[in-house]
Amino acid sequence: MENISTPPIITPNPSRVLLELVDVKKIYYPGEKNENMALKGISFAVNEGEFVALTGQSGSGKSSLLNILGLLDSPSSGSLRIHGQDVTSFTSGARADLRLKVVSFVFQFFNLINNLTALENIMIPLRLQGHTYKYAYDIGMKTLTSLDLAHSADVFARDLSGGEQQRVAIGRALCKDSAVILADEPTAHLDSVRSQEVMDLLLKINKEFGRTIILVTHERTQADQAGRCLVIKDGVIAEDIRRIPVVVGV
Amino acid sequence: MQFLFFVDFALRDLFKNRVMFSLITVSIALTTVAILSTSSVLLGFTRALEAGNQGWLADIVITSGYKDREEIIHADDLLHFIKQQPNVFSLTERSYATGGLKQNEKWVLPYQVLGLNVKDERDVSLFHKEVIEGRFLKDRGPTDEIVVGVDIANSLVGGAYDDRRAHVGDSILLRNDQGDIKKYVLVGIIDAKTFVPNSMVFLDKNEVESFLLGTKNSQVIVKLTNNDKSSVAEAKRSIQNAYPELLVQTSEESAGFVKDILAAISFIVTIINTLLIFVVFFIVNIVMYISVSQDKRQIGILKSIGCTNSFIVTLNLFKALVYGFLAYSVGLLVYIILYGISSQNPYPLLIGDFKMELSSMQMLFSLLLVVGGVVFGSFVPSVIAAKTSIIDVIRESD
Repeated sequence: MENISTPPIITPNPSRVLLELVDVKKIYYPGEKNENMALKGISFAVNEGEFVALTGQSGSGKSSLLNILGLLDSPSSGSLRIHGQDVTSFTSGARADLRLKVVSFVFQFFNLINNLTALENIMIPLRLQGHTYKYAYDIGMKTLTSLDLAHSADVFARDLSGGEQQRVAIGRALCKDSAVILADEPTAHLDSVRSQEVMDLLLKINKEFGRTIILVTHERTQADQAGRCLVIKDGVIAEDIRRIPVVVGV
Repeated sequence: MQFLFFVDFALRDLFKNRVMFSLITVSIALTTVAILSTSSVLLGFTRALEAGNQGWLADIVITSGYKDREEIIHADDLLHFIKQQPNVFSLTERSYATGGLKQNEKWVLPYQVLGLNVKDERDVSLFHKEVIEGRFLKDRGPTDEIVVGVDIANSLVGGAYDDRRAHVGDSILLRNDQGDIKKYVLVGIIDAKTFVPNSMVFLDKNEVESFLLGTKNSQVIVKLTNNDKSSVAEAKRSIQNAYPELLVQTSEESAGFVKDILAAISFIVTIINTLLIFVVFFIVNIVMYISVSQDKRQIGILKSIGCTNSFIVTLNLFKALVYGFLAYSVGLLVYIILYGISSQNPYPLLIGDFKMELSSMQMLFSLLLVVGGVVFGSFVPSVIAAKTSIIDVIRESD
C-alpha cells in the first residue's frame, strides 16, 4: 500500500542547486531573414526551495527561458542541469520523464483537459506516474480540499471559473511531487482578488510544502513577494535581486 | 496501473465528442457493410451457380474417355463398382441424343435430348423439383410424354423473349437423325436455374435410345452423401483409378463455363474490394487527421504533464482500434439485417435464386481489412499527433 500524505512535503536543501543554466542561448529561425536571438547567453542557478520571479518586458525572453527550464524547448547552445546532471541532450522520452517527475507547469491559460472533471485533471499525472486509482483519487481529493475546491471535484474543467481553473492547474502541479513548479503568468487573466489568491497559494506551496517555484510575471507586486527576482532584458539577465539570502556551504 | 489509466483515458476521450464519434463510426461502419456486401454478392453468385450446376450434374460426372465413342462400355460394372464405394448416396445413367423439334409448324434446331431413368433421377438431380408448369415425367409413364426446358418452351412460340411460349398439353414433334417424326405431348416445363438444361428436352431413357437412336449410357451421374471438396475429390480419384479409360470429373469441372463466369465476377469484385480498401484508408486518414487536429491542444497538455511520444501514438492507435472494432460490429449488424432480408426474399435470376452469402473466412478477412485499415490509416496521423509541439499548443492557447 502506498503511503498517502498529501500534498507531498519536500524538505528543501537551500545549499543544493536544483536547476542551473550555463550560457544558454536561444535563436529562433536561425539563418533565416527573421532570425531572432531571444536568449543571449544566460547563466544562473536556482537552489531547492527558492521562489524566483522572472520579470521583464514583453519579448525580453522570459517565456523562452521558462520553456527551456520546463524542458518544453531546447536551447540553441549552452546547457541546462537538473540536480547537477546535464539534461540538454536528453532524448524526448527522457525529457518527458523529467516533466512527469521533476518539473510541473502552470500555464497562463490554465491548460486543463476540458472534458475531464477537476479531480480527474489532478489525477492524470499521478496515474501517469503509475499510482493506483485509489491513491490518485485520495491525493486528488486532499489537494482539492487544500485548495478549497472539494465541492468542485466532479465539475468539468470547462464549467469552472477562471480562478477555479487556475487553482486546479496549480493543484495538478502540486500533487505530483515535483521538485519545481514553473508558473507562466498564472494571474494574467484573473481579477486582482483572484490574482492575490493564486499568489498566496503559490507562496504557501513554497513555504509549507518546500517546493521550488519559478514565476514569470509582469506584476511588480508579485515579483516583490518572491524571495528572488531575475529581471530579463533583451535576452540577458539585467538584475538578480535576492531578498532572502542563500545559505551557502551548509 | 498505467495500462488501466490508458484504457480508461482512451475510452473517455473517444466518447467526448459525440458528433465526431458518430461520424467516424458511421463512415467506417458503412465501409464495412460495403466490403461485407461485395464479398457476399460474389459468394451468393458462386453458390447460385454451383447450386444450379449441382442441381443437374450432382457431384461427379462420368463420361466416355474416347472422342470417337460416347457410350460408356460395361456401364453395369461401373455402376456396381460405384455402388460399393463409401459416401455414395445415389447414381443414375443418362443417354443423350440430338435432333429436331417442331411445334405449330415451327422447327427448332438443333436441340439436345436427355434420356432419363426417371426413378433413379429423382435421387440424383433436382429436375423433378424444378417444374414451373405441369409435371415431370412419370417413373414408368407413357413413352409419348415430353418435358422441355423453359428456354426451349420460349423458343417454340414466337420469339425467345416475347413472353410467349409453349404450354402443357401442346403437341410436340420430334425428328430423329433418319428423318422419322414422332408426336409427343408436352407434360411439363422446367426451369433448372442454370444454362444448359433449360435448353434441353427430357424423355424417358428407353425412348431416347429406341426412337432417337441416342447414345446409350453416355453419362453417369453420382450424388455423394458428403459432398465437401475433399470427399468429392476422394470419390473421383477412386473411380478414376479403377476406370482409367473413363473421364471422371466433378460437376464443377464438367461445367467449365461456371468457372469462366465466376472468374469474371471475381475480377469485378476484386476491383471493387481493392477500391474499398483505398476508401477505408482514405476515410480513416481523414477522420484521424480531423480527430488529431481537434485533440492538438489536449495532446500538448498531456505532453507538458509528461506523456511520452509513444504514449500519444499508442493512445491514438488504441482509439483507432476501438473505432475499428466498434464500426465493424455496427457494420456487421447492418449487414446481418441485409443478409436476413436477402435470405427471406431471394431474387430470381437466370442462374438461380440469388441471395447474399458469407463465409466465416470472408468475415474474418473483412474484419482484418477494416481493423487493419483503421489502425494503419491512423498511424501517420498518430505520429503527427505525437510530434505536436507543446510550445505551439501553448501559444495557440494563449
